[in-house]
Amino acid sequence: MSSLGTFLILATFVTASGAFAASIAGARRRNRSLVEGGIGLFHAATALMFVASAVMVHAFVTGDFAIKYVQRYSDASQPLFYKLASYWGGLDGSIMFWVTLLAAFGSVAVFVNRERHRVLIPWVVACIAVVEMFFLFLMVIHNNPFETYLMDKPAVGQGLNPLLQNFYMAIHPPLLYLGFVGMTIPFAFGIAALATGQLDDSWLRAVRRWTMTAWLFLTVGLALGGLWAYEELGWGGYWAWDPVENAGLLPWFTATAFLHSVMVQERRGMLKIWNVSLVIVTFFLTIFGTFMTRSGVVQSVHAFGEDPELARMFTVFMVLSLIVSFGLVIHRLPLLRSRNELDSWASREAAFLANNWVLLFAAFFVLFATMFPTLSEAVRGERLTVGPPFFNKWMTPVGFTLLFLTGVGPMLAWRKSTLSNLRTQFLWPAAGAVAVGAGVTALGVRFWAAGLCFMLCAWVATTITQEFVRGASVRQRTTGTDRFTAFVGLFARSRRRYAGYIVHLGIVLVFLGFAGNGFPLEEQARLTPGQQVVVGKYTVKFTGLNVTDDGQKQMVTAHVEPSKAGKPLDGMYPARWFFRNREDDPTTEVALRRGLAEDLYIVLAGYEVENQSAILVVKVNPLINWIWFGVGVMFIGTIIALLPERALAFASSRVPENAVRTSLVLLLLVGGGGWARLHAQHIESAQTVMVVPKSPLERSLQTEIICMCGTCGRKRVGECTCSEAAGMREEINKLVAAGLTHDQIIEHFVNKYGSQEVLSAPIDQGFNRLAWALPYVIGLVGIGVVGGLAARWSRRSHQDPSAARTAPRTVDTTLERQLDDELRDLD
Amino acid sequence: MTSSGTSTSAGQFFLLLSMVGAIAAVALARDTQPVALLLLSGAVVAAGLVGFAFHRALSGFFGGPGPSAPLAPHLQEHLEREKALALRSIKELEFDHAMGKVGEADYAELNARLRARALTVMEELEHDAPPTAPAPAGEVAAAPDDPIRTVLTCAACQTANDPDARFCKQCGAKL
Repeated sequence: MSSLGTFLILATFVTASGAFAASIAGARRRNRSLVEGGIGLFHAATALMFVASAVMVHAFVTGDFAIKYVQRYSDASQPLFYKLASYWGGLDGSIMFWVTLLAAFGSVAVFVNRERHRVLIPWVVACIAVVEMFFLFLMVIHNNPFETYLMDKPAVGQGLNPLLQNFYMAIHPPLLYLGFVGMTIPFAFGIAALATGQLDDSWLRAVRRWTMTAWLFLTVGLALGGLWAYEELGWGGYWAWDPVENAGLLPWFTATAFLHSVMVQERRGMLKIWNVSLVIVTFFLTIFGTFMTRSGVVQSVHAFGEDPELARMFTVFMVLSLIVSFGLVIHRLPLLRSRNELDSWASREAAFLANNWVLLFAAFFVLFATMFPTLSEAVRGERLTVGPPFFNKWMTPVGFTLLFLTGVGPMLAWRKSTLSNLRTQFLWPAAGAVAVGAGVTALGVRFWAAGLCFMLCAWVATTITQEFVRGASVRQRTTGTDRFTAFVGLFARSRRRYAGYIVHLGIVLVFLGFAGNGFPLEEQARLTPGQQVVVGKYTVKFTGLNVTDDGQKQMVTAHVEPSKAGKPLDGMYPARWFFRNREDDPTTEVALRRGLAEDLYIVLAGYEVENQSAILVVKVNPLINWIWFGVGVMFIGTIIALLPERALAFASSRVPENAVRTSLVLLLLVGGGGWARLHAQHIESAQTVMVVPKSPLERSLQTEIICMCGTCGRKRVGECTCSEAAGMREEINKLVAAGLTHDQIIEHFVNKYGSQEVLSAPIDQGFNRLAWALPYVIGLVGIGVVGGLAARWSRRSHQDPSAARTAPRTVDTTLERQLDDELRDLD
Repeated sequence: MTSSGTSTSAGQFFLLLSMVGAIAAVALARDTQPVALLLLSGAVVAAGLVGFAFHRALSGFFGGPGPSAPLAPHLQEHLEREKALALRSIKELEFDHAMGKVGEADYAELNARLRARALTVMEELEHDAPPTAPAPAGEVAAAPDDPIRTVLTCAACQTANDPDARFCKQCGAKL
């Protein structure tokens, strides 16, 4: 079977190169039979990849341990579901899975567009085939997943990493990969448009839907990754700015920017160069993300290990693809010049420009901060850590700016909004934000970022509500129907816009969840049966330990009886699982009680079976579930936007109606639910009962120093649940008790570990100052560039007051009447 | 797209072949785990798909050029799109005006401009857009290797001919 697999991969490579050659030749000679042949070969490569995948899955299901990859990532006792998931559990298989998905996506895209974009198709096929060829080449030369043991075929497999044996983890990589490979389709169409010179917006129409689909997969994939980290890793958070997580986030930023700026080109014919570049950059970032996680260039929990040869091949491919794509852009610059100008700064175009700039800054900043440790090592030979505090410090204002713009954009009209009218537009949202701000302050939310976040959420939610309400009433006036029908009609008429607003609503909910980060409660205690610990309103009583075995793993379970404000709740069972053959790294099974207002999150951090004692970490995470809920709303919104035109044409009264109802329910939830939770927050009271008293110095040190165990993803010492972190916490405690100052303790740790790697953010000195200064510099330069460009565009329009268009002309009255008629008919 | 008839029958042939192959493979297989059997038949059917794809690919090379449809959207379609865009912009402006985002003065100015634009496009459409007329406002100035302009369409049978052809290759009519 393994030789069949190897042969299939070789055959796919040959077929894909055939598709590439035939398409290019066919496109250049305008030979239809060559083009058709190229498309056929392209589909054949897809089919071959499916056969190869079937062979691989067969090997996993039947347990063919002669194949190294199968032996390393599977074992006979694994449930069938995880045997299938093992396919993408390692490096070689994940590359193969990647090619399979890309081939499938590409085939569908080519098939759907074969008639409409006849001229572009050969180039699209060639472009996707090249990307496939690169990954196939990797497999043939370097990472053959079908490699076998030459002798001593092992009888048992090592099994999939237990951390990955989780439902979310099994479906999170495929979704993320779908998002990644999906971004190749817009790239291929962009390159095709550049190559053929057909740079009007027809290629945009072809890719809009694909970009949205890929974006949706990426969003859901990222969210599931967060959910997995939250439930499986046991440090109580969902996002740690780990390089691998950032790799997924980078293309998300640029794709979001593209989805917005594409509207400007569709309507106004502006930003052509920008849009093509965004598509290229998004594709580049997906490849770069893969490179980062697979070559060991950056250190990360879930990177696949170091591999300099792979890094070299990726570098060559990335450099080549950048040269070719931007070379094409430069070649076509004369065709890409835009024909319209910015009419006014207070227009939606300008708002999109600002939004694009902020998103791009975010992408660049994350890229820079992720790569900074590597850069520092290359330049100065010192390992550093750029940890969550550094990212949070920078990304919080960026996120707030984006959220603020989300509220501003819909208020502005295309081309030009009248400034005096803006005051009435902003009245309600501003009032909403101020009201929420006052309410939050009255309730005693101290942490300024959380308070501001609540205010901005209210601001955006009011804007969107106002857009829906006013839009419906305008439509009611013009069409003379009742309010509900008007509402539905609004949706049917500009579905994409209002679906977009629903996605924005999802973003608001996600931010609501982020705001909860501002006031988590946490206690850690060593308990013997019968003892209890108090966290906020919750009292957690430990009743005993239990050790069981189910054949695949040994399970140590703590029995815990929580109660909330005196009322007993159902028992909770945090556990540690020791999988066979992997006894050294047990998994943490978190006990979780979900709620709209807050989650009770209990981790079994350590235990002693002899005296039945357990170390429990008890956390109360407020608002966290709103993140997942918000992503769900974004999902619904995107699906509505993706519905084909035809679906709405014959169901215009049905489908949108449901959507309206859904959004109404959601609006109610935001309004009502938000208040209920605000009442439920107790901010400072939790510190009244503390198991281990901590001084402010100790608290701040626990966030500045990171855990050095190497497996937890560089959690801050105060958050990590491993034993290494516990030791480091004790050390900090001793040093503080010994009366050392903050700087002395930091110095102690830097000396102990030999570098600043132990600090969560580099000290602002010497070369490291670059890390702190560069974002400012780039931000300012970018604002300068965008502002300068916008100013130039608007000046152009002022010098030439569109005389050509408004010039008095012989007006044909019949044409005028026809125009009026058509306008009336157009809904 | 070769004629859809032959393509369909070839597809049916390969489907049939792969199903027969799958049955044979399952009958001959020694490993009788149900999942393995399912996968085996899946693999054989996928192999049939490969065969079909290769058939299509190779018939593309040998089947000659085949009847070709016009390769790219015509200039007229382009104008139609321009017009639809202009009309939609006017509608949207009216909506924004009604929503209170655009004041009276701005509305009047923008509306006049957009209407003038729509009328220009409609006028051009009315004159049935002679192919040599430049696209409105410099939109996609004839791409150098754009096949729209390099393909001659026969007036009698609509077949696309080479740009230097003098007679139609399909029906022989003078071009």
